[in-house]
Amino acid sequence: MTEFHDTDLRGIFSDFADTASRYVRPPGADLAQRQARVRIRNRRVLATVAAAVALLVPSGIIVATQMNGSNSLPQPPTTPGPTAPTVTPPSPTATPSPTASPTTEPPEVVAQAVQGPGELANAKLTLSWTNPHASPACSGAVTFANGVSGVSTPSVHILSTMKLDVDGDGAEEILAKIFCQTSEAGPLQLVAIRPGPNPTILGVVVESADFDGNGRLDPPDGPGIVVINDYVGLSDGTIRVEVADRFTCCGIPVDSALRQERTYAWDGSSFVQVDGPTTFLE
Amino acid sequence: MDDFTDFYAAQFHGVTVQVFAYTGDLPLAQDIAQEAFTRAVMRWEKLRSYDDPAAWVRRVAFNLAASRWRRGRIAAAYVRRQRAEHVEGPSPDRVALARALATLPERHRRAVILHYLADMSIADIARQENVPANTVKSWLHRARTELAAQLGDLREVSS
Repeated sequence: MTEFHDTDLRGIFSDFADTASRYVRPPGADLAQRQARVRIRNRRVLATVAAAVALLVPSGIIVATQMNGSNSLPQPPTTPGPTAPTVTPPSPTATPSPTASPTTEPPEVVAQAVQGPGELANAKLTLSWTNPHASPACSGAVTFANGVSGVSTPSVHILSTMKLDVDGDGAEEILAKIFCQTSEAGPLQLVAIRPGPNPTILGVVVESADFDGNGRLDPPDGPGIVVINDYVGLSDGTIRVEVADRFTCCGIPVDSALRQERTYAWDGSSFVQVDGPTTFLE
Repeated sequence: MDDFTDFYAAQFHGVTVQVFAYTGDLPLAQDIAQEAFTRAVMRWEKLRSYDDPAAWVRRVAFNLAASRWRRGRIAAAYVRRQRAEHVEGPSPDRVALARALATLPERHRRAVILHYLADMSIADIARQENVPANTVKSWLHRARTELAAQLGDLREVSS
């Protein structure tokens, strides 16, 4: 069977480009810059809200989250909850307001976690933990079989996954909730993974802190995240995670846990919290 | 005029035409290119130091196009917000290449566009697609064969 020679195809593609180019109408660099400023400003507003909530109204949040018995995140469309009070965005100071500013819309829920390891079922991942309770068996190169590594404790489990473009490059990453089982419980982490023949860890979104026989063990700076519950992906690439301050199995009442929603974003080198309370301290 | 404006002016047409060849939809290609450049300006301080920032924009644009090709989720909302007027484009009858490209498997189509429209080397395509160079050579061979079958008359015109 014949095929085109390079010169033939280059000529045809060149003709195609010349013809198509005549119809291209660039919306303009200024529109791209205005849109980018809006997105950046929105993220800064979210970060400001997160900081303000942490400093000013933690007790209110805790009361509100105690009242919330739900164990799952709200479904789309979402409305601002008690952890995301409405604020007026600060006025731009460095540049004048654009004449045709794109509408500022809150990010929508576009992805939800699915139980099970999904396409990571038999993946090999290189994991690392900051939690000292994480067994060495949960660190380093871990090879999964049907989402599990290890036949007894300690063992590593991929509990759920979700696809979301977290770094804005147009390709979806995989978020995975990893469980390092050391007894009935164990450390958890939510990680972002670049998929492919050899999946690689982009970064850790959030990791649980320590716990003891009472379901929690407070670090010096106050109670930390002990449980990572459900999580959803938002249209701006951020991840909203429901976290709790206590394991509630095995005789520990479910109502004793405080639940919060915290939102995380990729900043180019790591995940940072951009919304929600930053502490369980009253 | 800043350097992003210069960069946009120099690259927008090329990226759009490449995505048009990939999707066969010029208005969509234009929207995708604009979205890719918007994402680029958000990280321009970093991208401007790259040897070839256009490669980043092109990769994002193709990622977006592939994603939308499969699911068409964000595009519709973006188009509703951004498209101020109907965008004219060459009809498929006038651009036989676009019609022929649409029949190729997705990866063959992407490889042949990156090679012949974006002037990317086989090694660069292999790196971007995370496959061996020989795989890219195979994709290009199959794409050239299929295109020859469909565009034989154009070859005579071209030569």
